[in-house]
Amino acid sequence: MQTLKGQFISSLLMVLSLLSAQQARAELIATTGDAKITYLEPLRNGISELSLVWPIDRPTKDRVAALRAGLASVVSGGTSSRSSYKIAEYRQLKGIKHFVETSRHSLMLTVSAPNEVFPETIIHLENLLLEPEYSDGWYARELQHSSSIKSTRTRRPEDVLKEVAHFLEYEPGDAVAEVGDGEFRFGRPIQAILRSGDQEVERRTLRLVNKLPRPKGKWELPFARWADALFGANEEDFTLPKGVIHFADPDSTEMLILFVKAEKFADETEQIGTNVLVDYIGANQGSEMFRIIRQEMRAAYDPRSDFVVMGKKKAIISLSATVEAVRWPEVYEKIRDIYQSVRSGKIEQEGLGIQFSQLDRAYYRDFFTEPVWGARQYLHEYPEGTDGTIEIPLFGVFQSLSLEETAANSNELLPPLEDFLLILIGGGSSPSDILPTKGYCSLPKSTPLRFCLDVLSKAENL
Amino acid sequence: MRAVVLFFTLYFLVLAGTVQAQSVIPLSEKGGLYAAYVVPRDDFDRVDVQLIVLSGAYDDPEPSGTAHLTEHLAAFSADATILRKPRERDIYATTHNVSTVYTNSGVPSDIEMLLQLSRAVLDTPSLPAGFAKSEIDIVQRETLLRERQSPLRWLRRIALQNLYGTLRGRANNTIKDLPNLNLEKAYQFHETHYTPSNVTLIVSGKIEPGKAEELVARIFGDTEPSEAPHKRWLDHKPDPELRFVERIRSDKLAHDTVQFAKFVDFENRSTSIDMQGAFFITTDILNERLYKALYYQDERIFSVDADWFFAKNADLELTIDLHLMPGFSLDMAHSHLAETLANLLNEPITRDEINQARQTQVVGARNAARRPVAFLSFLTNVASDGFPPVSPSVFIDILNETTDQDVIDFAEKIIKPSATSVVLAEKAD
Repeated sequence: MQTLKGQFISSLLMVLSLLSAQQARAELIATTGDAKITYLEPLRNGISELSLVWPIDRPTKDRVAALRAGLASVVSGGTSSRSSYKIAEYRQLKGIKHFVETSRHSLMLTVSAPNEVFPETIIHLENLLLEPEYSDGWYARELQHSSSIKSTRTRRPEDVLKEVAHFLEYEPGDAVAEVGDGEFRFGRPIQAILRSGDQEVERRTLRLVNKLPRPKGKWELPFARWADALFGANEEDFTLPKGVIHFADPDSTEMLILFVKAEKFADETEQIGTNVLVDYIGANQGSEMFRIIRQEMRAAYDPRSDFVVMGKKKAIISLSATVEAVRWPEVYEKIRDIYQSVRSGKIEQEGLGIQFSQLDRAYYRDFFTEPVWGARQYLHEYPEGTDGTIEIPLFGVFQSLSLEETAANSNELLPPLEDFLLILIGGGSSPSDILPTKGYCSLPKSTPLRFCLDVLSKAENL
Repeated sequence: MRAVVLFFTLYFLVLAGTVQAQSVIPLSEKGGLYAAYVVPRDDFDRVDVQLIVLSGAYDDPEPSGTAHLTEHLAAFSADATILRKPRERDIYATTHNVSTVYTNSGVPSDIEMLLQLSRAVLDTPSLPAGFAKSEIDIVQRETLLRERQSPLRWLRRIALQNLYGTLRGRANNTIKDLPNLNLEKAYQFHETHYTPSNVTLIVSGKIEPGKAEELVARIFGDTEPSEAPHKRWLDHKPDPELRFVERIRSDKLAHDTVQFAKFVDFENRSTSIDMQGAFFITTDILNERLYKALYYQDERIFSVDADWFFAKNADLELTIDLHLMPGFSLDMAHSHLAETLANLLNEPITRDEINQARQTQVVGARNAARRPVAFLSFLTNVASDGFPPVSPSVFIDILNETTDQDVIDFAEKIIKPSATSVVLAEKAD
C-alpha cells in the first residue's frame, strides 16, 4: 500500500507598461481592449474550468520560458496576504489545479476545480492575479521547471518531440534581453474560456476579467508587431530540416531511432485521415510497428508512432523505437519498410477501423473529462475568438471520414519518408558509416537538439 | 456568447455531476481465489476486471526481474488463448513491488470475455518456445529503457540495497541480473505464485452485483484453494542502528540529488489492516511539514518527493528524493534534510491539522473517482497487499473512524531514529 499521489485578434492589443508602487518593476502582460469571453459546454465529470489567454509578443524560446515561469510564479509563489505554502494548502483542500501552457502566440492559464468549490476558486484566482508577490528564488526555480529537458539525457521520444516542437514554435533569443528580471504581472487577457454551468461562476468570471488591469503607460512596441503576432503574419514555415542528427553515446547498449516530420494539412479530413494512418502504423499494441518490430523481430519494447497536434491543420508526425544498439540499422530499415508499405496502401481495413474508433473515443473522452484539452482545441480553431456559433470541424470529421478513401489515399496523406528528419541517440555504429552523409549533424554532448536543427536548416537554405 | 460543441458519435457515456458512493461487495462463490469483490458504479459506461496476483518484484528469486518476465508471459498467453483478434485491445499488466496486476477493460457487454482473459492468466503460460524465450529480450529492452528514462530507479535501488544489506526482496539487482533471466525460473515463479489462494479479483464498473456473482462463480468456480506462497521479503529488516551514506557521480542526472531511505519497524504489530486510516492521515501531515520546510520555505531545493510504503505486516519504508538547485551542496542538503526530519514533530500535531489532512485525503479520494484509470488505481492500492479493496467512499469512512490519538502515536513512531540509507548523487555534465 502506498500513499496516493496548458494568433489571436479582437479589438485588442497587448502592451508593456509599468505599474506603480511595490509592483513598479513588474512587466504587465495585458490587453488594452476587452477580453472575449466564451462559454463552452461543461465537462461531464463534476469539474469546472476557466482558461485565460494572453498573447505572446516575442516568441523566442527564452521569452516564452520567462513568461511561463512568470505566470507559474504568480499563481503559486504567494500574494500580499498569503504565503506560497498557504496557497498550496488551500488548493489541496479544495482540489484546485493550475495548468500553464504556451504555443507560439499564446500563453494560457487554466484553473480547474470541483463544481461545488468553483465559485470560490474564481475569487482565489482573482487574489492571485491582483496581488502576487513572489521572490526571485521562486521565479528562478519556476524558470528551471519551464526550461526544456535535454532529450539526449532522458532519451524519451516525448522529450525529443518537445525539443523539436520548441524549435518549430519559438525562435532563438538572447536570454538576458528576453528574460529581464523575471517580474511579471498578468492583467486583462484577450480571451477567457469558461466551462461551467453555474451562473454565479459566470458572474464572478466577468467581474474577475473586468477587474484585471489594462496598461496605463505608453505603448512600447508598434502596433504592427502586435498585430503580426496576433494575426500570424510572418507565420513561421513550420518545417523541419531533412537529414540525420546523431548523438553518439559509446557507453550505451541501446539506441533511440526517431523519424520526425512537421506537416500541414489542407483540411481537417486530411488531418484526421493522416492521424488514423499514423496510429495504424504505430500507436498501440494493435499497430504494425508493435506487431512486426516487437512481436516478430523481438527488437524493441516500445515501438511507437506519435501524432502531436500543434495548431489548426498542423501536426508533428513521428515514428520511434529504442533498440539494442547493434541492431539499429536493421530496425531502421524495418521501420522504413512498414511506413512504405502502409503508404503504398497495404492496409487491413478492420485494423484501421479499430484505430479510428480508438481515436474517436479519445477525442470524446478528453473533451468531456480533461481540463485544458477542450480549451486548446477551441484556441486552435478560434485564436482570435468568435462572436458566432462555435464549430470545430475536426470533431465533425469523425462522422464523415471514409476509411476506404483514407486507405486508398494513403500515398497522398502520408508524406514521403525521405522528407523526414532522422534522430539517433545512443550507442552502436555511426550512421555516417551507413547512411548518405548529406544533411548530417553530430550533436555534441550536453547540447540541445536545436544546435543541429539550426545547422541542418541553414545548410538546406544555402 | 454561449455555445455547445457537438459530438456526433457517443461511445463511453459520461454522466455528469457528483461522485457516487461505491460499495465494495465480497463475492462468496469464488472458487479457490483468496478473495473476489464487485464494486458497482454507473458513472462510466464501462466495466473493468482487475486480477491481482499477490506477488511482485519483492518475491523475485535470483535473478531479479523474474516476476516481471512472468507477467509478460502470462499476459501474452492469456491474450493468445482467449482473443482471436488481438488488435482489439492493449494488454495492461504491471509488476509492482508486492503484486502483479492484470487489468482488462471494456464496455459492459464484454464482461464475460474480460473475466475469461483474467482467468487465463492463472493457467501455465502457453506460448511458442521461441517466442517465450525471445520475450526475455523484450524484458531486457524494457528494463534498460526505464533505467535510462528514470534515473531515480537506479538511485533508489542503491539506497535500498544499502538499507537492507541484500540484493533481493525489498531491494533488487535488476540491471546486473538481466543476463541471467530465464524461462525456467519464470515458469517456476508462475507455478508458485499464480495460485488461486494468492489472487484477488476485483470487478468494477457498470455491472449488477448478481451478474458479477454468477459469472465469477462460473468462470473461477473450478479453481482450487492451495497454500499461499511464503513471503520471504517480509523477514528482511535492517539493523536499526544503520546510518549508511554512499556518494556517486553520474551524467544521467538533471540535478544533484539526495536519495534518502528509512525503515520503521512497528515491532508490536503483525498486521497493518487496522492502521490504514492513521497511515494516510499521518503521512499527509508529515508530508505537508516536510514540503513546507524543504520546498515552500527553502528555494535552494528544486523539488521534493516523498514516498511511503506500508507493508501488510506493518513495516514502513520512507523514501525521499531531493533535487537541488545549482549552488546548494549535497552535504548541506543532507544535513538540512536530517535536521528537518529530526525536528518534524517539535510542534505538536494539532486537531486542526488532523482535520485538514483528513479533508485533503477526502478531496483526493473524490477526485480519484472522477476518472476511470484513477479509480482503478485507488481500488488496487490497498487490495494489492491482500486486504479488501478500498473504494473512495469506503476510504472516507475509514478516515472518519480514525482517532486523533491514532495519528499522533503513528507520527511519533515514524520520526523516532531508525535505520537509514542515503545516496549523495552529484550531477556530471
